[in-house]
Amino acid sequence: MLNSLLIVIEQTCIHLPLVIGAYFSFSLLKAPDLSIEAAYTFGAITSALALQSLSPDFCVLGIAIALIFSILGGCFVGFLSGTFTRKIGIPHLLSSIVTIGLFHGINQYVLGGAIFSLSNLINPIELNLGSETPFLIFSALVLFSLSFLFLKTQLGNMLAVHGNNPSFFANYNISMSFVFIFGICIANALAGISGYLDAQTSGFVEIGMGIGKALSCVTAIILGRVLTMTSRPMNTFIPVVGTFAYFVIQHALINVGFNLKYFTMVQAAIVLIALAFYYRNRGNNIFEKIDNLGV
Amino acid sequence: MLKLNNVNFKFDKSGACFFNNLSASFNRGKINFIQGANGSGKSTLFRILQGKLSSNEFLKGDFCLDEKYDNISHRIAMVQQKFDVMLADKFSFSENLKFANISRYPSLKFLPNHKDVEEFLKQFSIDKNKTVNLLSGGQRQILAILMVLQKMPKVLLLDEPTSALDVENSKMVMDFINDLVKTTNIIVIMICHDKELVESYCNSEYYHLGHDLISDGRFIEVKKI
Amino acid sequence: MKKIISIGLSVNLLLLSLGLYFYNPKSEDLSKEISSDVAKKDPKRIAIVTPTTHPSLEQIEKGFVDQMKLSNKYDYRFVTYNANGNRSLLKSQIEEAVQKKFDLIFTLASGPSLMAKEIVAKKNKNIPIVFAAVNKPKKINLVGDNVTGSEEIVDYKKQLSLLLFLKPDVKKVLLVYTPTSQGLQEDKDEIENILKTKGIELKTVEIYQANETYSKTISAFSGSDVIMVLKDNTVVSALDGLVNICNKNGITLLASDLDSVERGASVCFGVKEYDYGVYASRCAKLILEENKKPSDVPVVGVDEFKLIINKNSCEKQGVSIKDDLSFLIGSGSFI
Repeated sequence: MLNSLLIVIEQTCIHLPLVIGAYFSFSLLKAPDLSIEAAYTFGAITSALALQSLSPDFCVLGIAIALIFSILGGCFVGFLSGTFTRKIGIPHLLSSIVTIGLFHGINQYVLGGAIFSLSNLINPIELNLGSETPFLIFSALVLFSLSFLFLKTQLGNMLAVHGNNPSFFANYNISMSFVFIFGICIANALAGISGYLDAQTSGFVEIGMGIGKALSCVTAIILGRVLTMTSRPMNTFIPVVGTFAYFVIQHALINVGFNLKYFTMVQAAIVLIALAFYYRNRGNNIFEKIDNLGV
Repeated sequence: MLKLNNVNFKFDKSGACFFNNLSASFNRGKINFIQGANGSGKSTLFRILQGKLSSNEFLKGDFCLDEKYDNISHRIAMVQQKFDVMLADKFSFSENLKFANISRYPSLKFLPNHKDVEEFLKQFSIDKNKTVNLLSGGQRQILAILMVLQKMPKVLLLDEPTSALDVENSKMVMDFINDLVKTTNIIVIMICHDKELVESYCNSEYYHLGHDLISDGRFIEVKKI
Repeated sequence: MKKIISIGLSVNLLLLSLGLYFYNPKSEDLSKEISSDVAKKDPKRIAIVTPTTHPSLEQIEKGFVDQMKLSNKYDYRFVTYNANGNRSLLKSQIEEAVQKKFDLIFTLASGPSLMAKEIVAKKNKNIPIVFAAVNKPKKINLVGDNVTGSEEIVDYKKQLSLLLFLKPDVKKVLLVYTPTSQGLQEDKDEIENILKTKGIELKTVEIYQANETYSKTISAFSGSDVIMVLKDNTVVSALDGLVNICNKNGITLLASDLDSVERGASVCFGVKEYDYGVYASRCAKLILEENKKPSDVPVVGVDEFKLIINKNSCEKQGVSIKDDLSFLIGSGSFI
């Protein structure tokens, strides 16, 4: 039992930055930001290549290098995606799809192949302890507290205001482009961190790592909303509880014993039940604005 | 005192003059009402005062605030007719006031404090911690005005603040604006169509914005009630 | 009220996972039906990890399972983990398999193999890993003390010279492949070099998803005499479209795997997918039955190349067959 719990906690800690980033962009900014898939892969690629070429001797230095480069990589993807939206005027759904397409080629060029193995480099997150779990739990706690504090700052509140009422900013002379691009950059930087953690724990980077991540993030956020049932506009517990529930369900379904070809279908059925439960009574309450994105 | 002198305005650089040598002055200590038929140029006048012109439009004239400032657009604040657009629905009253204090590029610091207006809130029975979408129309209108006032403008423009409100809420908002004019140093200019409302406030100046058939421009004149 | 429901749901989720950990129907059922008559064989449990559902992967799995079941020493039981193309699911499943302490993990293709190697190295070094159908395992660092298996070998020199034997007047070859598939980029470079020495022009079409194969190839095929397909799961899924193009235009379709010949490719030179599983099962038997260490079992390259020709397709696709051809080809068969 403890082993199962440990497996689920490890998976949660690896994907927590990604879901927090998706929470910032889908739930707070209400921008359908699919470019987290590209940021996930690109962050993993940049940090893997940095670790290979810089070859740090100390674990702490290795962690710092990997995190810095994955954040920079993710930020770059987010910056492009946000700039296409705000400066050119394309709706964000389309500009994030275009970014995925652009980075499909950029990733192949930078990586120079299909698979890149990390196992012949030092594993910095093991910290000479022999297991990666302590670092993962530590990073998850740090990220949770940082995002909790972030949502209390001016910028965090402005992200939520953007989702609530985009025309708010023009009246008070607040730069909407700044808020939006900053939000998308942060979301994609977190996706990059998650990409690095996934690559380090699996041992290799693959071009198609990010495919399907947006859907799983949305699923996790929906599960989080159903389970926390909060009425506040921003709540850092939603992504945390949601990711944990997602991996608990995944782990439980693997153990049930049906033919795992149908895994995706059963998972989608569970999400449908959760959604039906959440949306059952929404239309009745006149104070709840109908939310087009729904995440 | 806000003075406009010989203002010329055209919607299209090659077209006819919309405001032709318009002059007016607005004083402190009283509510300045502007009244005029639909299409006479009230909202356009507000837009000019704020400085929001599009590229085709042509403006020439003298604007003077308190005999010293020439660049007046950032000392002027406006509350639109649709005041809901200016509020963040899901947040509380006090949070909205804090948001109004944020500068052009929000920083990573915690939310700034807002200037407390406890006495107003008690008077209008507004709960500071309730979310804004649960407040009544008049209370939200007051919130919009308070938010705009956080940056301490010298001139406050109100575009038909009471047109969407019922009698009781209208009275509440007008009382609030009246208090504001008496206690602070702000010049308040308000567009209003309701004659009875205008007439019930003695300390006010009543301007009429009309169409001059002879010169084909607009004029403003002070009308005594 | 809402809070109570939400807390109730979360508790239920945890209880569900707890309960399912202890309830494991698969092994219980098997033990009931087999223990009565086959009491003498000891059970050994093998986990099969496949990245997605695909006919060639199913063939490899079948080859492995059939061969293992013929063994006299042990009674092998298999649990298949199918990752549905989802990387985090793959990781969860491999962690599960490692936690359940299987006697051997059999992985198909490079993704699961790499991940299994990493996770086993961290969690439980005693579980041996046998992989099948991995292209160039040394290059992706799939080497280690407890990793062995069957490797995909390609021999393009032989393949292309056989092609030229059957169809000497080839001037231009169109290669349809997936660059993001492991090892294929290097294969394309090798083929390009070989064809250059023979004075044949090579044109390439890059495919990233099976459904764009037909539309991209149809724009690019004009002027080509041969369309060549490598050991590439993505393109082979969409083979029917390429067969159509070739049949209509008299272009020879040269495939690198033997299952494509029934689907209409005229010349196929390769190894049966089933054989990858068979060779891998030999490695597994050495480890489990003769107690050899995986580091003592060398990675075996499957090189039983066969050349299969589809007579019907040859007529449509411009390959002329002379009757005495069968005597000249070393190992081949006609369909």
